[in-house]
Amino acid sequence: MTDAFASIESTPQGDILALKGSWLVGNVSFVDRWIQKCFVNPAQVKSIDAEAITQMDTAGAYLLYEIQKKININIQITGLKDNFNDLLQLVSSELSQLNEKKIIPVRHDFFYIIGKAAIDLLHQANLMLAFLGEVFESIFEMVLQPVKLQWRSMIHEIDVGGYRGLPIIAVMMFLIGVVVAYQLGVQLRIYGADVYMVDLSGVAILREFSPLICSVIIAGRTSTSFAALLGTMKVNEEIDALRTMGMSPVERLVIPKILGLLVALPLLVIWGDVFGLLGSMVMAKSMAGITFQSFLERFRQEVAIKHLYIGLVKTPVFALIIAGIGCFQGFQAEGSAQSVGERTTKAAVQAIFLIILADGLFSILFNWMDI
Amino acid sequence: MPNNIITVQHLKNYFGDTCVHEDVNFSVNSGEIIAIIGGSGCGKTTLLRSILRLMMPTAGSVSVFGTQVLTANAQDFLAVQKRWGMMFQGGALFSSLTVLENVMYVLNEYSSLSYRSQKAVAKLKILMSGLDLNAANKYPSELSGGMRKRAALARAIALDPELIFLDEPTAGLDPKSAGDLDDLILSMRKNLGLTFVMVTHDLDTLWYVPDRVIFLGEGKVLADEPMARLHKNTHPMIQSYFSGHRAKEVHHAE
Repeated sequence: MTDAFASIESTPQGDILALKGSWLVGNVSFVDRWIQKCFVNPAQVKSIDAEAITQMDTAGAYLLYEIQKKININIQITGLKDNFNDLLQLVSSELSQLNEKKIIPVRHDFFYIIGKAAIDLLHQANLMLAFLGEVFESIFEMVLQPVKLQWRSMIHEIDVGGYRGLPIIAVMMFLIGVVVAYQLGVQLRIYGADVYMVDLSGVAILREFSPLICSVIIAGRTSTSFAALLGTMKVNEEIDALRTMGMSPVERLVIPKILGLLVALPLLVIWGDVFGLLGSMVMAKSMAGITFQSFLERFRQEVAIKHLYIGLVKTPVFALIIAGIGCFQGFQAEGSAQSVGERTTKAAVQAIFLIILADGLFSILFNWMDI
Repeated sequence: MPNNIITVQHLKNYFGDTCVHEDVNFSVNSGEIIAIIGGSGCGKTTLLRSILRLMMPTAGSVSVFGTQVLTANAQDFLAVQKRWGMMFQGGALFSSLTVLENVMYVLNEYSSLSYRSQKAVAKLKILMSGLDLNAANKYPSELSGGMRKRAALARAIALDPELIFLDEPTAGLDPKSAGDLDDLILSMRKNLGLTFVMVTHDLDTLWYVPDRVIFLGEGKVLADEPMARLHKNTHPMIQSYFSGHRAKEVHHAE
């Protein structure tokens, strides 16, 4: 067996083409280029000598067929081994169909694309509304019949989404606390008002930073995991399997996740408050010499408890956004692994976007209410 | 060229304490069609995965095209991989690519063809696997089960492998499509000289297609003979495999 590359040589008169070598898919690049350039005058070629072809597969047969087509479909091929000839016949009979059946690629114009995008968007909004409705209906049913709640999976969600998120929340909030206190300290020092670090960082962390940062971290951790999980289940027809068993996928899969996060997120925010303040305390001590004890005393006097409540009151909405968007995007996946990936990305982006949007709306609302 | 292209010797597979294969020995000659059968859980798929080195067996040796697959270095193993194709049970087509792109994927990686020729060769393979060209631009999720099997076969034969593994090729197909696939396998062997190793439970296929049937049971090869002899084998496991009412009906129809 030789591994010589496939080649084509023509006699000086250009009337005989001599084909040589191993016409296997990995060896035929020369022939492929030769066909596109066509170094001979097709009219002159009288016959093709294929005796020196040592090996051939379908790709080689395809190229031989192309050479025939280029020169003259009825040209005489001499010396081609019988089994290669069979292969050539097979390939040319299949390929003659190919020329009859053209695949017409579908092309759309500009307005079609815009229109489709608009309608898709509307459709998505509709689906989201329907999904929300289904979720609230299920929650309402569960309030009436608490037995139906999947306690076990809810506890599991609290464990995975909440308990195992404790370390990352602690580290992140500690750092945020340090940074906030440092920035405040730099500004306040100019006025000799170092001690206000306690009031300001306390309010900022309880009211804004802890709820927002915790929710964004949990959106990145949990929303994506819900979308990937449900998306894969959808692609594997597991969701359809649940439906045919007469079980509601929303009730079985979504409600435990939403309720689990409704419980876990406020607790995480409190945990984040503690570590955020710890960070501020460490910074206040090293920057302004405020001892832990005086920090805590001033904190108790000056920071009203309402700031903690305001921070916590937002968390159920954030939890609903995180779990709802994750599950909704998961349900929208269809068909392919790629769509699961796309939906997971969308879950993270939309959840974080909506959390920040909701936080802004809360600020306006609290401003109106004068709190 | 050695006629013997697969040799499995003393293959042993344990999952924890469970023994799947105790001592499996068989060989496959070039140009043969071999079927592997046996009751559920007897390790047909495990055997296939061991040959393909998708998993490491506990002990034993597997030689394909004269290369020791289990111990070969990456380069030698790649050379073997280019010479075999595998059609998975569910197709395992890349779901984010169209059928045409699926077939071109391997061609693009391992051939030296131009884009235009790759496309033509890919279309050729799609036609050879009996699929309509309208399916070429569709995504796997848009195809029916039978079309997906054919698309998977088209991808498996993209590089003109000499050896093709089929995992339940006719499972879930209607009798007509299953019969067409049987004919397709036979004609590919005839026209392209391919060797097939298939795992199947389809009795019609078993009677019609393979030259030899390997019956796995009790962790060993219990029988290795043509179907006509196998169903007369007196081993109790083989007897019970062919004693269901479906097996009897197929035999009466013969």
